[in-house]
Amino acid sequence: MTTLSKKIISNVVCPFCGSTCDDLEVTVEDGKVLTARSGCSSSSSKFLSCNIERPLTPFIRKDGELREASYEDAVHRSAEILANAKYPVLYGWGSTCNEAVRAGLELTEWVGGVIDNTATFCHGPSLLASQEVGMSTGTLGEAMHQADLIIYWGSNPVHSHPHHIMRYSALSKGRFRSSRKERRMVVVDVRRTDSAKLADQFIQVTPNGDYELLCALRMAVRGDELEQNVVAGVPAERIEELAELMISCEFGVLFFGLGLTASEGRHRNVDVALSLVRDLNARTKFLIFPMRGHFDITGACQVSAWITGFPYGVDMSQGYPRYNPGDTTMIDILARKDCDAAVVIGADAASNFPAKATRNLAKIPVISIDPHSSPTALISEVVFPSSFVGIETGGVIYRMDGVAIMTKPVIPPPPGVHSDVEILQDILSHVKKLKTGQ
Amino acid sequence: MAVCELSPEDLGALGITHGQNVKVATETGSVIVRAVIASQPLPRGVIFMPYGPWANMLISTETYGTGMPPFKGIQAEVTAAANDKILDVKTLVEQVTRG
Repeated sequence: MTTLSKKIISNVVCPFCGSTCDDLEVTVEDGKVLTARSGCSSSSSKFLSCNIERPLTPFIRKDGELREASYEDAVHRSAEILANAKYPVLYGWGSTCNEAVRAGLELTEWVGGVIDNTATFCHGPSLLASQEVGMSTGTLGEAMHQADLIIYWGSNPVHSHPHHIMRYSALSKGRFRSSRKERRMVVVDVRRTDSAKLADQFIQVTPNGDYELLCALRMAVRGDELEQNVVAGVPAERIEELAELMISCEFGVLFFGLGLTASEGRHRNVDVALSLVRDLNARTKFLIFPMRGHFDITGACQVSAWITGFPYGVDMSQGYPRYNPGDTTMIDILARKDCDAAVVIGADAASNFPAKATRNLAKIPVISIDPHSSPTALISEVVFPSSFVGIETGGVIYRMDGVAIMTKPVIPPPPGVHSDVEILQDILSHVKKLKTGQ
Repeated sequence: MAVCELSPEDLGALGITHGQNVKVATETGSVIVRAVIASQPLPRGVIFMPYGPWANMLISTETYGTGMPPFKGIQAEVTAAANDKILDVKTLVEQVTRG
């Protein structure tokens, strides 16, 4: 039965993965989400579970225990921690909005710390590679409308970006390629993933063999003869066939994932993939895209880059931005035990860091800003519940291809729960008072 | 998330049954998880663990100058551990932070 308070909101932006699908239809009633349709199961789960295991007040650790606190006390305590720290790190930013990243950058400058985002161990190596050789890229719209060859390399979008294949690549209905029959799809991976099951060709590379295989493929595209019969587990004739397929397509797209960035070689794997696509553009049209994970990680990198010049791992401790991945990046700083305080926002550090990094994080005061109760909250000194960007709070985010999208909140946050931007600005305001004595 | 996916051939070769607890160890550390037959086929000699607190017990903080720890393509050893218990996430985090 339809009641007056029930409302259907169309074209809602999904705040789950970097695809940021903007075609959701969300039904709300009395400030609650009833259904979230058109998206993937992860999307619908994100909307429907937004009020599960959710703290509604801040917490401050006293005598070893986290105790409920007022918002003002939590802001004051956080400002004290950050103002007194010699080398704080402000980490996360992948699951919030660009406005929050901007506030975080100003806060980092005031406290003389480091700001790093989740790209540091996601597509950070892709950014390093693109700084060296450039990236022949475009928008997902171009892939959707024009691509007749789609390659996913080290990426399993059926699980990581569930609607990516349907909206932007092999299964999408584009202006110039309107059906699956007009596109070829190839998956390169160490295992036959569920994405590989949708492909015309699956090429199984040995673990850590991507660099070799990409180099061999690049040789084949350039017309050089392969001296080995098998490269990284792939017979030479299959490499030559794939090279021919890439050269002969009208418009190719290579989407790559953490299979390249997190295995041996890291940015060097991406470097050769970018170079391969550059070579291909002498023969045909080809684009390459990193499969960015968190819904606004592209925004976090871009905002950081246009304010400081660097996309992640930015050290402001000298009063100006410095960038040296492997030195000014979160895991390296924690491994050296260099930082003496941390803010974790829009990320769950304790669940995602190597154990040693989590152990060292637990030894310093952590300010956690997160809608849900997370393992990071368990080791925090101050915990702020925050509102969900894209569900309860608006803001601009960047899709994985850098297209800016305005989110469309559908319900109000619970009473007393502030947005990431409000929390950061309030902490910043108190830090300024403590630093200037005014 | 406290699982380790293996090929049916590797499970058989190790004398492990689907659902049995195993110990996965790397140069960095070890963790007890449940062994399951891979939902997406794996070649022999390759295991898959989902990203999260259990897998992170096995990951080094060495980033080789990139900021990125070695999350993929690392050497690991799997052994049966039927009598060992899988820790829940809270206990695991507490164990990690105690060092």
